[in-house]
Amino acid sequence: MHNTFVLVFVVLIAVGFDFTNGFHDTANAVAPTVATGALKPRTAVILSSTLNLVGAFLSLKVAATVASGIVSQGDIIMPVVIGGLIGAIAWNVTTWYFGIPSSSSHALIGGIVGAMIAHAGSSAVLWSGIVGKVLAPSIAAPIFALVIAAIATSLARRLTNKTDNGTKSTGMRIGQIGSTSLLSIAHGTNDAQKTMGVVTLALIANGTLAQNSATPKWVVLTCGLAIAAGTMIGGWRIIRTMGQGFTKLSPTQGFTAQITSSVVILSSSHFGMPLSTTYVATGSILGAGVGTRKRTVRWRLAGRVATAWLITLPAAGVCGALAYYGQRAFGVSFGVVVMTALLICYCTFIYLRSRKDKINAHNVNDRWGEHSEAFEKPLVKVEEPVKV
Amino acid sequence: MTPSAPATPLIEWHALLQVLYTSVALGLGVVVLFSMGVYSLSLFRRPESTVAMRGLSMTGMGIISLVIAATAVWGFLVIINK
Repeated sequence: MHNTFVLVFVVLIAVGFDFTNGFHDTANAVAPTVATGALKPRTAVILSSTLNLVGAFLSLKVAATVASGIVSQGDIIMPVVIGGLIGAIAWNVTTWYFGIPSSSSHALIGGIVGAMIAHAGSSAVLWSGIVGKVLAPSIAAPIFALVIAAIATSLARRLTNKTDNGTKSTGMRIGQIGSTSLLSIAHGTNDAQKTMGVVTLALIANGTLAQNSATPKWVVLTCGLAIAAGTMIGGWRIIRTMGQGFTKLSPTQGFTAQITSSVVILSSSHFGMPLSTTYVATGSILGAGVGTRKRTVRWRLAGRVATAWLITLPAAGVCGALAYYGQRAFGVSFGVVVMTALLICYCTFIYLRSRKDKINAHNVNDRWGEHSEAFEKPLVKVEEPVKV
Repeated sequence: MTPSAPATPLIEWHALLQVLYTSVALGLGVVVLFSMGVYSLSLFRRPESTVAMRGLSMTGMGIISLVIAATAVWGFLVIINK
């Protein structure tokens, strides 16, 4: 295939996905740090953004495959990749608006699976891969993190109960800055490489690069900058949900939640069983809430987030399939322009809606319930944490 | 007749359990050590602490800092060797 026009759109949409990935996942690394005041919100986001960029350059052992082991690689064509990316961006933007921490990787997988089913039927999807590589780790990740963080918080509380509050708060906050840094580097390395893989695959498919070529430097730089820019914007709505929504975090809880996230993510990378950073970070924060004496956690909110996780794959899949059919209806070259235009319209609409109740660095730590908390609307205005 | 290759399990339970064991050991280990370090610092800062107690606190903090730094280096190596 030699279609430079489509290739340019693939690169632009992939970079757009990387950008949404950055602001969607900022919360994973910085939410507890922001919530406990270990760093000022803007400082935390700048630190995370810089380290995401550093992380993007640290390792380039990326396999130029998209959703490897999830769909039949031989059936992947450019419109499927475009459909998958559009589906993932649409889902990321939607969940960001509602302040829901959901996995960008799963959105991308869902989008590609949906587009692939539309293109080649369900036989082109490796369902065993979906169960083994997506569903099982999705269930395991938050449970592991929740249990470990709960025990760690309980231990830390007992070990430091005779420590003066000033030393304890300062010490734990310093520990949080260290774990935020490690998480941010890991995120930059992991997630920027996914997009690098997509772009490299598109360049190879277009004949611009030879088979088995290394990722070009400009791809590394562009993807690194895109994820860093997304992180810099700060997904404040999700940071608010994770930092203020699930539970009220103390510096000790923030520290144990972040250390748990760091070790679970790094261990899973070490053993070749990558777990979703978002699910691990969410589980850790819930565990930090469970590990306190009062055990105050908003389980109803956690349940709603878990429901969003359940529908991430099918919802992104539907968006991906629609984006694929749209391209087919208008022809690949014109179709990609139409679908990109529709995506831009949708993102603009969501952005303008979000301006009605703007969450930013100045109000991210406001008491839970003081803002519309979009998906809390059916409930009473202020939902106090419940004792379990 | 050649022996058939063992089927790949649907869910890699072994890898998942390894992740669990390592995370439990490292997560709880780092948190316990760090908490002890914070407690040592608190002892060091107390006006009523004796010189011996302060020396012991400093030694404890030094060892704990080294262990935690080693864990952070391990994490960094895992990231760059991915």
